[in-house]
Amino acid sequence: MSGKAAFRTRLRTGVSVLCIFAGQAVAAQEFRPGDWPSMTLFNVPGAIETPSAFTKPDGELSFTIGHFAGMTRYQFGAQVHPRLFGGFRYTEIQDFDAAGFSTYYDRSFDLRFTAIEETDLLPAVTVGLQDFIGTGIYGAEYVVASKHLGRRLRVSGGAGWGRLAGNSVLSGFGDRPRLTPDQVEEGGEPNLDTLFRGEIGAFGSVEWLVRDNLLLKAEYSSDHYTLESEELGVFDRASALNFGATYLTEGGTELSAYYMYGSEIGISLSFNFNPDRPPTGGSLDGAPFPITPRPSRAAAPEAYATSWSESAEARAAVSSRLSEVLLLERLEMEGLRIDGTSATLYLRNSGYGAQPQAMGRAARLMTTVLPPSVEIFTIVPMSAGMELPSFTFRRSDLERNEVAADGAERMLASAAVASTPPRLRRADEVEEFYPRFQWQLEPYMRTSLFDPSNPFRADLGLRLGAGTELAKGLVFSGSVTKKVVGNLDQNSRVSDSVLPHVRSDFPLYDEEGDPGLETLQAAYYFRPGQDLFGRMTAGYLERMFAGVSSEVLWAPYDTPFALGAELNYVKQRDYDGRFGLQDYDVVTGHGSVYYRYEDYLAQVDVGRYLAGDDGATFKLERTYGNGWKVGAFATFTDVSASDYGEGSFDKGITLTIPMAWFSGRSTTAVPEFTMRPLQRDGGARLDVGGRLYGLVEKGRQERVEEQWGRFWR
Amino acid sequence: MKTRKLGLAALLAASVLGGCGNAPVDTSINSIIRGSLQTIVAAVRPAPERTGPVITRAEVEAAAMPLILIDVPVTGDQATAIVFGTNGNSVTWITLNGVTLTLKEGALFSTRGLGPDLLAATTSGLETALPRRAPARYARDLRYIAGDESIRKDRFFCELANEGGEDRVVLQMRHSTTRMRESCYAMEGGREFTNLYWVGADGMVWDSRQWVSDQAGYIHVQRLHR
Repeated sequence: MSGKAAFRTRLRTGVSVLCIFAGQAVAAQEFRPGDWPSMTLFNVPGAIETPSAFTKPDGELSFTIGHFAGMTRYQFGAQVHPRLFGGFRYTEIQDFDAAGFSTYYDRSFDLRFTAIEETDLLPAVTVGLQDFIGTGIYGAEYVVASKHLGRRLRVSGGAGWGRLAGNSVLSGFGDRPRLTPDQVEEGGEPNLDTLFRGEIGAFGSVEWLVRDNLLLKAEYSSDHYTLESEELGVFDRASALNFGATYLTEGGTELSAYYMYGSEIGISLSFNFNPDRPPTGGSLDGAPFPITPRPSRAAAPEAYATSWSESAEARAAVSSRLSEVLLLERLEMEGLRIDGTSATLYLRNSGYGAQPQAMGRAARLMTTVLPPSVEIFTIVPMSAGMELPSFTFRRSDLERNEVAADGAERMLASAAVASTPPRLRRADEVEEFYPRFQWQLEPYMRTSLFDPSNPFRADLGLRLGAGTELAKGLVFSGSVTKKVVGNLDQNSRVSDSVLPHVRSDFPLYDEEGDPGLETLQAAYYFRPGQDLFGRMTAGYLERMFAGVSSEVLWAPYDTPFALGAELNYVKQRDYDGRFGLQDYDVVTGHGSVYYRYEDYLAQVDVGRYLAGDDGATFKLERTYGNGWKVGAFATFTDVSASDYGEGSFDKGITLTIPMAWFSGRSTTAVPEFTMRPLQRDGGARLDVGGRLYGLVEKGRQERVEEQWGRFWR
Repeated sequence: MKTRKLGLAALLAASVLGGCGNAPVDTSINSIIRGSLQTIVAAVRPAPERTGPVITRAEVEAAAMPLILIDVPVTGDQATAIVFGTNGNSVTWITLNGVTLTLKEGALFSTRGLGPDLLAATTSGLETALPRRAPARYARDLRYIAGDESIRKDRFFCELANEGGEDRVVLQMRHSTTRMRESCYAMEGGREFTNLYWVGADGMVWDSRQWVSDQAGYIHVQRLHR
């Protein structure tokens, strides 16, 4: 009986119903949502409509839907730093006859900075900007102070400008033009020249945590809703006082009901969660293989003989066994170089979001399969045919540290890292690894958000993708899509852009391009030199452009920064999703700097965009150890705000969500979502797949070290 | 036209559920949707109520191999486990569905696959005193992978006390044992736990109640067969 079969028989004698901890388990032991500030109808910490100075726990995310008087606010906010909170709001206002809309849609962005954190004596003090980019219908600034009186009572008082200056108790500095319905048009410009200008109002609130799950609120609001109630008659503001009650669930969800401004009933629902608080309370991956140490050299010197390695057959047998067992762990061997005392494994990780977990599992299997004389293990993680920084371990360290309390820390300390490991040679490649052909049929979704005539459009359909790897790093791939249901084609918007229509013709692509060829391209990935990564891609690169794209990235293992350069020549594709091209062509490219500092990743791209405009994109992301990223970006080019059109410049929010976070089961699927107000033609970048930083990041020092706890997981 | 739509919709469903593709490791969105569906189905349809232990003494004797029984009171789950690997004095036990416990001389070193797992625990003071049934004082570090993936280390101060002889029945088999009580408390946060071990004359831990983590609480480990 072979070892594996014997093991299976043994397993069957154990009867098991041992189950997992899925469900609403809560990770942090100090998790008491009642002690955290609750969210206002504007999705910032505070009472009902007025803000408080309190901060959410670091990294906390909030989604709030609030509704009153025909106004609905869909909002997302993040405490991106212990002192900094950022928010995005999409508002739907019925009967708001500005700029010819009967139902008016508005986007706005908030930023809050907590200058003083609360202590036993001092109150917290926060400075906030509300709707500081955009049409500014919610434009307001405030300085607010808040203090707990005991655990259950909290009071706030503040001074407000803009909307929050309704009761104008002070006259302040400078002028602030009153917002009239006619001005509610283009928007998008930061309203910097009116910040903290004009009249000053005063507001205040009291919150009382009656029980751990019930919060009562009362406030005096200095927002007079002049525009809505006096000029447009959206509702009747009869009082400055608001009252409300919030029910808090154990998971941090808030359900609130309010009596507002003496005339209206309001409701809101807030989901609060934190990527650092996964719903499963830990990884549910099956256990890894245990390490069985070799007999000591003194006890069995013959086991350490290296003579086996002289036979090519023996080496091939070891190689094929290793490749076989790696597949059990959802890992693939691309190549193995082995001699009597050392082995280098070229590893493709298809199973684990955390690279240390893949390396730990591979190392465990190497100890079970490789002959005892092999003492030095090197693991080279492979990404699209490129060798990522490699890790070299001593087998005796693995044997010892598997069962040491500080084993994970010890393995990291003893590992030798090579930023540019030796290339995988042809002779060491697993036989018949190439060519590899893969295909896949999967659902796709395409959305168009925040279009004033219909803020949510989407298509759901099928994508058939196929790819073939002919050799290491050389991939031919293509995909076609066929819509099943959706309303993206119900868009009569005709682009009025004065720039080349590089993006604004998207309704034509939606309408005429179904079924359509999405991509059809050849890509080659390689390592051109020390610390360098390279990519060449040619073909139908995305739905709207075809051409050639080339990129090089300098990213040593242990520097916080990396530098990239990309150069593309592309022609615009026909709307019908076939092979034809239009006349418009452009040379576009960027120089990029990536900088990782603690939990933040900053990226600046400078160069020429698709419409031939020059400028720069700034992106800042808050990163989490488990792969979540929450970020915002903005692009400024030499296109004027009026030429750009609605929104004035390209900007948006990105969310990167590792799917394993929800299920607790490791996968490498980490989809990224971008929420951007209607994309226009200025500041548009080519959407080529497989950009280098995304492929290389998982092998860089910060990433590897923050997930190192998973080495023995 | 309508039938074509229906056909496409059916294909959409099939692509998700059937796993359309030929990759050796399915990393597509399909696998995630499928996994989520399974989780939902499992949540909606709870496992049938268990009556009595998952194994009988007769089955244990028939198997005639080292065997332990693991109880997780928090979930009400119970499973037997067999030896998966041995590294020095560490024995790793595995259940049928791939959960492992690693014990050193009967003292819990780590768990895998439970979710709120114990990454590793120092056992140095405990593993020498326990088989000798000797009182001892020592510090223990319990390590966990926190939600942000960092390694969280909780330090406890522990006292192991001999509470005298006690007959202990493990799945219908009586063992004469000594009860050892291990009381541990943390300097910060006022956290504490108390582990119990029933140790035979030859140092074998026949029964124990041991702390895993805040969420998993205590687990019981019984030795069914040597």
